[in-house]
Amino acid sequence: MTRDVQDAVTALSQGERPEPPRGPIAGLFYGFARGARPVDEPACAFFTDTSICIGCKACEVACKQWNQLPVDDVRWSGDSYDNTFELSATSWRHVKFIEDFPAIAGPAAGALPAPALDDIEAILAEPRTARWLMLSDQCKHCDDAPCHDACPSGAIVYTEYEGVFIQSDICVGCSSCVAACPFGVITRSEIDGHAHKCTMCLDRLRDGLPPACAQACPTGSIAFGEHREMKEQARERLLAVRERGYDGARLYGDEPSSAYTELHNMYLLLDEPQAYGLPEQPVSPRLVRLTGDYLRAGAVLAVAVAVVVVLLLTGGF
Amino acid sequence: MVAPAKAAGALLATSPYASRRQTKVPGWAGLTAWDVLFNNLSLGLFLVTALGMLVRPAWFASTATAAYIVAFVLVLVDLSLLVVDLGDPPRFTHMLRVAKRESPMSVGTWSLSGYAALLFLVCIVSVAGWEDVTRVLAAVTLIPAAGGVLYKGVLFSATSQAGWRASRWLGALMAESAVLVGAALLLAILVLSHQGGGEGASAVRAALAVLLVLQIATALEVRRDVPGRYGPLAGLVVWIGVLAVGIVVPLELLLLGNLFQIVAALLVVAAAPVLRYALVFLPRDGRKEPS
Repeated sequence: MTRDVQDAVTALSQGERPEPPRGPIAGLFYGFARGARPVDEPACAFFTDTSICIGCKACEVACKQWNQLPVDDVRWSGDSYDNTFELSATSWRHVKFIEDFPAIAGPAAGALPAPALDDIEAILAEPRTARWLMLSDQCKHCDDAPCHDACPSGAIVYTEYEGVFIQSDICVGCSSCVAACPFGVITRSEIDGHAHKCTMCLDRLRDGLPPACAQACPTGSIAFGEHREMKEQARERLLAVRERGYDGARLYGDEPSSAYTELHNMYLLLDEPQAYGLPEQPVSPRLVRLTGDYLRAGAVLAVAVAVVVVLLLTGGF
Repeated sequence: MVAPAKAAGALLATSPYASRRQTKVPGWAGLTAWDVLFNNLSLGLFLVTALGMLVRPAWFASTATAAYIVAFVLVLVDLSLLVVDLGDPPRFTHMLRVAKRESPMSVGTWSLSGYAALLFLVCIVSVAGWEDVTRVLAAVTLIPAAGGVLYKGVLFSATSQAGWRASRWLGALMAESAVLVGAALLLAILVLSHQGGGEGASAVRAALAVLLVLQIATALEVRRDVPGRYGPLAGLVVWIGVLAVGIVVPLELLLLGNLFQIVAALLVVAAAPVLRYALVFLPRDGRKEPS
């Protein structure tokens, strides 16, 4: 135990607590008080390389364990080994399984040729007719997050690492963030009525540790580090994968579009984003829709008010 | 690693995730539909009454106080629904910690809170008979009232939800509909207070007829944006319910003169929940989300 931690534990054991508000005036303004702004740290990001994900779900387990999240209703979805279905208030990581196997045409088609187990060259030369894609999904920690825009209580904030963080104790449970997220990440808990999602393991980052999922990943599929470095790593990896014949490989979230900002959770995908359940082109409601929708509503309201005023002035017809 | 001989994009037909909804539908359901209704009724009634008092005070002087009080009761019901929907009373006040113009919910919270507080004062001074003060206060209250009308539809359309996100005129429809149901409610109050044959009722009746036509235009625009969100039968029922019962029949009744104006006004108000239910439940139709 370090000296700082020992001091903190000692202080807490001696009953040292943040000072509560004193008097009705202080109590009135206590809810509006702001803590000190944390010192800026380098912007961080995840880079998830789906080409080396093996679907072991160690990330799911590590996330659950570190964040003390309860077990969901675990049952087979019928979609390969996916037994958690989707991200939820208690599942902040979700491993998706996509089986791309040839259809079995029945006995008439004949048996598949047996692999030449004693000849490694022959095994390597065998045509690849099947593939199994996995993707460990989580919050995208958008650079300009729609959930952050939509939150009316200031509960959703950017951390000093530029992750998107929900202060659940301040969250009012209005679900505006749920409606705004184009990735279907945020969920309102039926238990406490607050919204929950991946925190980018802020507590671990502040203690100099990587997020639990990144630490637990046995293949290095989930990488975490400074945003700039992760981008470089992602681009290098994309080149390597394409050189090996995966022409459909692409990066997701590394660059902003006209409708969305870049993500602090980038993916190397081997196929179309929609195949992984990701929107092909995410759209930010604030960037693309908000102003125009207000203007249209305002224009029509002005027309309606003008109708009423004119008919009041003329006395009807 | 050797690449498989598969064309990129071939997975779209077989991946189970390609056909799943990509967003999560918020738990906005029946309570929300009623919240929208009471929001529109209160704000619409206040807007039309306040405009009437500002433009033609003599025509509405005897009914304005009753209309303001009804509008205040309606906004109290609306706020109660919002609080119940959040699940914990202090949560509504937590939203007043910050003001964010990019959050329609924040705009709405501040607008409704300001509107309700000012409307309370309007009711008091109106009951006290201070007409000039009432007019000034009512004019000031028009500002948060306009905010309360505008945010409601944008709260739905400026999201990532299927159905709502495609509808660029949803906010316009709800804003216009608020004035429409407000005019209908004021007409009903005028008739019930034995002023159905007066000049005020005549002007409101004419306004109601024009607003009904305008409602057809905005509803058609929304319908064009979100075709087929409901199944054929459900869509037909909703469309007939809104268009016929809520618009066409009242319009014909209004054109018949003041004999059936109370029926027309009540039909407009009665059809209002149907439209709001249809709009609030747009993302919940169970269909595959378009990619």
